Amino acid sequence: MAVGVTTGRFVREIVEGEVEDSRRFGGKASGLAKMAAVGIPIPPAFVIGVDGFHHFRLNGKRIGAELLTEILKSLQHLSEQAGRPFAGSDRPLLISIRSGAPVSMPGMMDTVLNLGLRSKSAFNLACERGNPDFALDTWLRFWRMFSDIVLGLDAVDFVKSIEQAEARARQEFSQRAFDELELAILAHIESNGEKASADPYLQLERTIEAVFRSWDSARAKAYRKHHDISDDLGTAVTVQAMVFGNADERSGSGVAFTRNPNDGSKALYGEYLIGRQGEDLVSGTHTPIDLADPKALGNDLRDALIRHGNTLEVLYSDAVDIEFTVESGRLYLLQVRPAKRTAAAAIRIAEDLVAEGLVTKKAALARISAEQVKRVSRPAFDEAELATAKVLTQGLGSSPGQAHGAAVLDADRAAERAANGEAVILLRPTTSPQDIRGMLSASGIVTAKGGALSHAAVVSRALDRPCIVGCEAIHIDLHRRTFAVDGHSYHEGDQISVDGITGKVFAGAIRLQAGGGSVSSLRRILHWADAASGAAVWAAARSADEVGETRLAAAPGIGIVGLTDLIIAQGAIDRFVELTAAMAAPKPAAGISAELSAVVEQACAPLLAASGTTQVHIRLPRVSSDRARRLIENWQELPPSFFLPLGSPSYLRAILSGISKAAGKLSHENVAALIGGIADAREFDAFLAEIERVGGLKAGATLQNVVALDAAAGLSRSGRPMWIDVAEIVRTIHGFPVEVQQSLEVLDTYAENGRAAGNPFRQLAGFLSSLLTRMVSAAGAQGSALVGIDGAGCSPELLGDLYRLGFRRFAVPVARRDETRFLLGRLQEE
Amino acid sequence: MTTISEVEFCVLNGAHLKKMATVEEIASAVGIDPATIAAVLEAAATSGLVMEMEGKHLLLPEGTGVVQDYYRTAYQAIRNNASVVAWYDRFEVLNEQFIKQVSDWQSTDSDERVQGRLMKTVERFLKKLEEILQDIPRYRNYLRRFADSIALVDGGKRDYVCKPTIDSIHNIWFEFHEDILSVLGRPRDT
Repeated sequence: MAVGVTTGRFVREIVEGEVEDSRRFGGKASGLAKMAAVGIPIPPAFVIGVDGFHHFRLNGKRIGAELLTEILKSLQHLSEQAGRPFAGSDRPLLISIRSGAPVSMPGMMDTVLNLGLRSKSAFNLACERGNPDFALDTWLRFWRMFSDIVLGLDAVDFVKSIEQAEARARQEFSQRAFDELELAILAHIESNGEKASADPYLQLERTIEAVFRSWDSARAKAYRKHHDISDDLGTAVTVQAMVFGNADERSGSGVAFTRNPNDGSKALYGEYLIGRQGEDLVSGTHTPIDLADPKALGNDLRDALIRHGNTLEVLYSDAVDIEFTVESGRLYLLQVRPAKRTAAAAIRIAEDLVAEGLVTKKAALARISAEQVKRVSRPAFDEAELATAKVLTQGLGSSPGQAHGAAVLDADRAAERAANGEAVILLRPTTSPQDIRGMLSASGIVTAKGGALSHAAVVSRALDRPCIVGCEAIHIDLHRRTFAVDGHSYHEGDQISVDGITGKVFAGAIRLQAGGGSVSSLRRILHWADAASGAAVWAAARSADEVGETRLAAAPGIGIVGLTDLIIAQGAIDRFVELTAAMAAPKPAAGISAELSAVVEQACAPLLAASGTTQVHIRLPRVSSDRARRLIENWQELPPSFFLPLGSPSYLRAILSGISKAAGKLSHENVAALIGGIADAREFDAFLAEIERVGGLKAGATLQNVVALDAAAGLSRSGRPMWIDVAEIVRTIHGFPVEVQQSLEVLDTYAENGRAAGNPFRQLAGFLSSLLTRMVSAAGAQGSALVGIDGAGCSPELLGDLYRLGFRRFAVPVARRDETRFLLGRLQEE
Repeated sequence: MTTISEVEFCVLNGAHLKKMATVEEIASAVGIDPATIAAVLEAAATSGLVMEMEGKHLLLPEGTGVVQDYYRTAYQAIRNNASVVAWYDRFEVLNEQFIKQVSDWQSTDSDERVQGRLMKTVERFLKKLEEILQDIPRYRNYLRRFADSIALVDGGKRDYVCKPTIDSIHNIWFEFHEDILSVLGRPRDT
């Protein structure tokens, strides 16, 4: 392509080198210039730089003679390059006008297409084709955009008011009908109090002015103010020749991905519509051909597209998607950007880009979002159980994920049952805003009515819950609390399973298994993240089942495991609670202590067996905890000494001996018991003595109050593992009940309403930071491996803060482990 | 049958649309001062229309009936008003476009271009909403709520696009949709 000929103050041809400077020519033009520079074929274009905008501003918000002369000169040159006269009556040049600020912002005018036709040239174009449709579609598309975007008129009203004139032009197919249509359009605009003109030159001027003016729209201003962007930055305007995929049978439009956006594999992927414009592809009114089909593009075009794709991947250091048009056998690339992709594809692509040497591991981590990691690590149905599960019905899967639970037909009852720890699937005829609370607590959502585009689907996706809509075969009887499928009747509370991708609803509860770590690409990415962060992220499993999951294969440790959780998983919690209360009696009956030991041993055995030789940290029950208070019926009648960490040595010994026996029988040599609630090094010394007395166990502590933190320097010198329960500490220093901690959003809103500096569960208070920093430095480089964060109640933000303070050991719930490893790995980016 | 004033209706309808709501939440949704709202809710609780649970107010079946009766009687004329009905039909077109764009936004990890188109649709809707303020003046509150959330989205708080637990644009839209369906006495079919 020729080097530019423009030499004015404001306007440059897109191929001129300096246009790559996005501060002067905007992101859009800069992108086009970079493409042109590496030999990508783009339709000819020129750009009015931000200097032009400043000139406009200083000139009383008028374009002015000097700038206009430059624009017209470049337009003339554009006409010559395209071989079509602008505003001519026969085969005229049509152009697009786009805003191009150095940063894109809301409220700015974006694009006007197809500018350049008037009734005469539109009719000639129609005659050339032998039918009026192409010409009218092209022409009216311009008018719709112009009246909407430039003049701010309602698009629906516009279409309505010219309906008759348009129909006549299509039917009569005469110059007179086209002229009348133009008059109808102008009349509609005038009747809305705007000046109208059919002259493309004046339309171009107004469009450019509209772009410049939109820089000062209220929303754009507010956005800049909030993002500290200077009001004086200004915007550029790019003017580009239109190319037409519907020009003839050797034309067409398509979208190409350099890699498959579903699975990430490296192969040209996409769709092509022969003889059509790009918007036909978007509207879905015509069926495109798969790019893999040899009929789609000839070999030459296909090869060229692949070659350009490779070039662009290097330019963007990423997979890209390309909008392209072929006009009379000639390929043009219109728009390129980093490709949209599914979570699985994002992870595979990041891995491949590193292998191909296109990006560093660090950069690859930045190509993936935490959301995508979360999505890929989502649990999935056990394949064997799925194969034999009975399908009740199939609807439209509209939010991905798999879940099971009791079918509940009412949002309130769903919330209630979920609050009691039951997994629930909300099954409704339709959903209204009143159902949101129920949807929040449900593991999945099914509606009988509705299509893929429904409020229920939007809410489910936002909540990350599997959702199936349009299960018309399900008949719900809200009064009887039953539902029927194919003549079979089911009751509220019956177990069902849902697959939000396939849209299948199954009878019964299908077991869920981990997805994440089993995907090999994710496993590799997470190893990079671990290497980058240098952090050890432990798996806080709640049962042996969770330990058995493949994603734990590489866990540095299993913990913090709540002994109470293991007892619940074993179904022995009621007996355990009774025995605990019995142990508090002044003289416990004979055999109580032995039975307590046995319950603990049985609860620990499966988890220890599943953990192999991996170290396991088990947190001892704390009778003073909130959960104990709810579980133990006559809690308030227990002797006060029983609430102290070492207040009842016999109770402690019974529990420790249970754990020790389980470990001993399985020859597990790496099990530690963690004492909670302590505040003094003397308490820990006493605990160490108990551990030694029982034998076969290691000792550690979870620090749950601020006094313990203050004493922590002394505690950590013991060389035993110390876990800091940061969320509990934050909660207790604020005096919040657990309910507040469990709904973080309440505090977010509280802070947003100006009643707190921030959510304390998201950002550490200053004095807490200094206490924790002191602890990290007291532990020293060697000791820091022994000081960990109990991250169960910590938000991702808080985990990040703690990492920055120097903590490198974290324990998080199994479901959050992959995401946490990834997030910590990404922090190195900063 | 209990009949209620317009203010009472606004308060109870606010609670109805949110299912469970605090005085503050209802106040910011319906634009009435919290003291009045608290008084209306207290009276409604006494007459068995509303139940209070830990500061949140929940309509009892009787209360829901009263709200629905109000819709039926107060909006009888509106239901027969051809221009409002025509307005709603055009809203349906916009509604479909809106849901599609929110869905696209969700499936593209909040792509900026998609967000731009989506916000444009919302702005277009707000212009439309102004057209029926004469018929249903209380809809001015939706206008205000949308403007607040748009400003937050523009300020970079993307949660205000469609997060269900806050006054996000999709939530306001969803509530509005439910509201206008009740005004016109039409069933929700999606």
